Amino acid sequence: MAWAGEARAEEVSAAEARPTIQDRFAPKAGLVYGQVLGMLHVRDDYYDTWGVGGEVGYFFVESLGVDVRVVSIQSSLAAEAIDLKERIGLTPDARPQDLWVLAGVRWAPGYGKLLMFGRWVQHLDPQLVAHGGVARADTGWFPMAHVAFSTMLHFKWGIKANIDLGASFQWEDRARGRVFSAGFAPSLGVGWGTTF
Amino acid sequence: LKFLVVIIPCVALCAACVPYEAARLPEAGRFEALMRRDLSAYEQRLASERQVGQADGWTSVGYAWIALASCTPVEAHAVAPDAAVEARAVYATLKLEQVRRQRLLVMRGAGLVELSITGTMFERLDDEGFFVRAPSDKRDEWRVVWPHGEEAWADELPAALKVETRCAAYYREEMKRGADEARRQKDDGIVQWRPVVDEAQAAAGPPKPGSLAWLQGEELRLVEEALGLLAQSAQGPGVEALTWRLMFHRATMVWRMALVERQIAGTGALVLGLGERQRMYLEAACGWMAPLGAREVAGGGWGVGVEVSARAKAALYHGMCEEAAGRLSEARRAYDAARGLGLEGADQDVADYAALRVLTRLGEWEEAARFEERLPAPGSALYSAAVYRVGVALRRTGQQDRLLALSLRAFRDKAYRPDPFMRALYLQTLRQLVAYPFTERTVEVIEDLGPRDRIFERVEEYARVALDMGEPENARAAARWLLSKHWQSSYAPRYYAILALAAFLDDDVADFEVQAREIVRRDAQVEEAVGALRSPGFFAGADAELARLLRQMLPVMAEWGEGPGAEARRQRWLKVIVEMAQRFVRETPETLARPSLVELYRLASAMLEVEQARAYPERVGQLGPGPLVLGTVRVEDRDLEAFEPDVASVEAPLMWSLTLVPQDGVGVEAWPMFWAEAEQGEEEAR
Repeated sequence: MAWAGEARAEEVSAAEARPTIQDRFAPKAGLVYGQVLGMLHVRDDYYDTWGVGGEVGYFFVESLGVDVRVVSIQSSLAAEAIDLKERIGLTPDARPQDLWVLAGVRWAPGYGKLLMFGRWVQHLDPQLVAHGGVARADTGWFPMAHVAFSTMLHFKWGIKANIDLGASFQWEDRARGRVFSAGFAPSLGVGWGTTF
Repeated sequence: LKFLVVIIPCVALCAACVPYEAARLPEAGRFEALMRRDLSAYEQRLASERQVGQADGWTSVGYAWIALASCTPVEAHAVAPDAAVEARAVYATLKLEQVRRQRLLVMRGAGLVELSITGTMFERLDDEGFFVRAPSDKRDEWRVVWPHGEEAWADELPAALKVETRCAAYYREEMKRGADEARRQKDDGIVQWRPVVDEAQAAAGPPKPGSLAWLQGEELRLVEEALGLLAQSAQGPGVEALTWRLMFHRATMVWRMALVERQIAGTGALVLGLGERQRMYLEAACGWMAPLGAREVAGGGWGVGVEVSARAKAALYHGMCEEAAGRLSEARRAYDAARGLGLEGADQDVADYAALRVLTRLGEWEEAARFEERLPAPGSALYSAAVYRVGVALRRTGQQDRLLALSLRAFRDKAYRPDPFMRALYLQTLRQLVAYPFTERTVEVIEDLGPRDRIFERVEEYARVALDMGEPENARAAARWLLSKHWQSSYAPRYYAILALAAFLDDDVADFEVQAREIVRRDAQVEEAVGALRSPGFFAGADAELARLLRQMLPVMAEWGEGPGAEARRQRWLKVIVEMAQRFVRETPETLARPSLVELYRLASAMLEVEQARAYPERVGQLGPGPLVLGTVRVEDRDLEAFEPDVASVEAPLMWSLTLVPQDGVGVEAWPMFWAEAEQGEEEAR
């Protein structure tokens, strides 16, 4: 998988047209990495939710790894919920969450690179991520799952960045009982890793 | 703070951006894949060198190596004229190897050789399993393979491809071409296998490219080119060994051409009846072999890369050249060097025989006699000649008993009759035997010299040699033994003739007359049984024996000298001869030996003194000179040069490799000529 992007492509003759090879810029087999991340959690619960957390992971082979993610969540009533509360005294059925603890797998089936401004090359791994874990709200702990399309960007010196476009699935206890809810949970992480 | 939290990671990420750079060559050595015999990986390496702009003369050499190993044209990867001299030298040797393989295949196709590539590196190189030709199935996780497309990134390198071989088809094509050329030449009645343009070819233009003649010429030219370039490159064991092999290959190739020339011309032995072209080839081969052989004579000192067996062969060929040129002492040293280095089997026999021959030609009899312990096997073509030469050496050094022992051993293994050398040895042995009295022991020895049923023939030969050697008593004893033992009376006249000759040598006229009469004695009962009509034919053998006896006596008498005693003796015997011949012719007019007896009778009469009445009819009125009998001619040893065994066609080993395999870590001067473990395996297999 490659994007030529703005690459100054070299035309090669048909006789010399042949597959090419390239060493991976940042091999992942045996990679241990850690990152700090910021996250948004968007769902129809009348809260503004964002989080800050950390993740550590390990890739057994180039295409498969595991990670553990802990995110501290900050939830506050959205402006329209405050308005409702002030006018009619109602508050949302959902309770504000303050912590996610997740563990899951990362599957990296491809490799890509982008030529930036004709001067830099951005190496990246497209990954599919699946997490399972628990979330905590003032009503207690409840189960949740998290899946994401993730892009791991590789920089020099082992620096990595992860852009996750994730979805959350939760089964939380509310006043009207256990309720299933889904949300959009994009995150951006920056970290460092090394291979052993 | 929030600002810093955002800004710092952004700056860090920007600083850590990866610049777009052209790919670099892998760190592994540039010849590492070739040394591993992984052609696919090596081709990938060469393509990478070209992509990153680091191709040089060695890249072309690499492609040429792949072409050679895949039976595709090496010329497609010519090394630039300004490339390193070492690269140009190796490239020249690769082209040489290509031409050599092609020539061998064409020759095989034409039926000029039994085997094509056996003994050369192509035996292994062209084996389908010798090289890894396909890219490894294993996908390295740390490497990305991009499918080929219309465009490429500078930071990518060519992927490995499968390197196909077309050797099977190439072999078929070249051998068929050889067969076709042979058929065409046969149809045209023209033999054009010669590498040098001759007059007939010159009229028709130079040899056709790809023809055998062209290939041979091209091969010699490439050897010359490679030697010139190697002389300019760094020197070391590898280069020295390659230089040696190239020189040896050139010389032996032309030597073989001389042998082919002999086959074409059908001139027989190599050194006899030399055609101009054959002489030219041999002179060239000897000239090229001289520095190699001379160095062996001087003590060798070659590096580890030159096979000892080939060095020994070089010394052997050099010896033959020196011997042919008449430099016998130099030839002897060369043969000694060859034998000292160690040869095997038939080659050792050839070197031993060549050394023995040159020693006998030098008259070094003591040294030659020592070869008694190093005779070839009786089945060898060199055996009889070697035994003969050792026999002569033993006789010359006075080792009579060992000569006898050698002869008895040799004649047990090989018949003397059909072989000129064995026959000559047999004569030597008889000359040795007649020095001793003829006894039962002598008979036993003679019996062991050949087949039992020919014992009488050999005893008779003994008797005649005894007469020749001035031993009439032994001859007489042998003849009497024959008369008493031989059951066929038809042989009796021959034996009486021996007795008569013995009496003649003893100056015993009375005994001579008795024995001579016995030769032609007609038994009345036999005559009656045979009848008058058949009588001349029946007694023809006996009568001829008398004529032969008298004829043998005349030259012997001539050797008695001119003194008064000798003359009186000669006249006495001439009178005996004349009277005997005259009487026999008168009494037996019907004899078939009459013409020769009359001739002898008249010849002897002419030699009588003029006072003798019998001399008168031969002298009266004669104006010209009378007959003159000078004596006998003794031929000491028969001239056996024409029967010399053909040692020149001793098989020269084909050089396994005439090129170098590039290697990392050491200079070209230390490069091997083939993959070490493969070569070792080949040696073991051999």
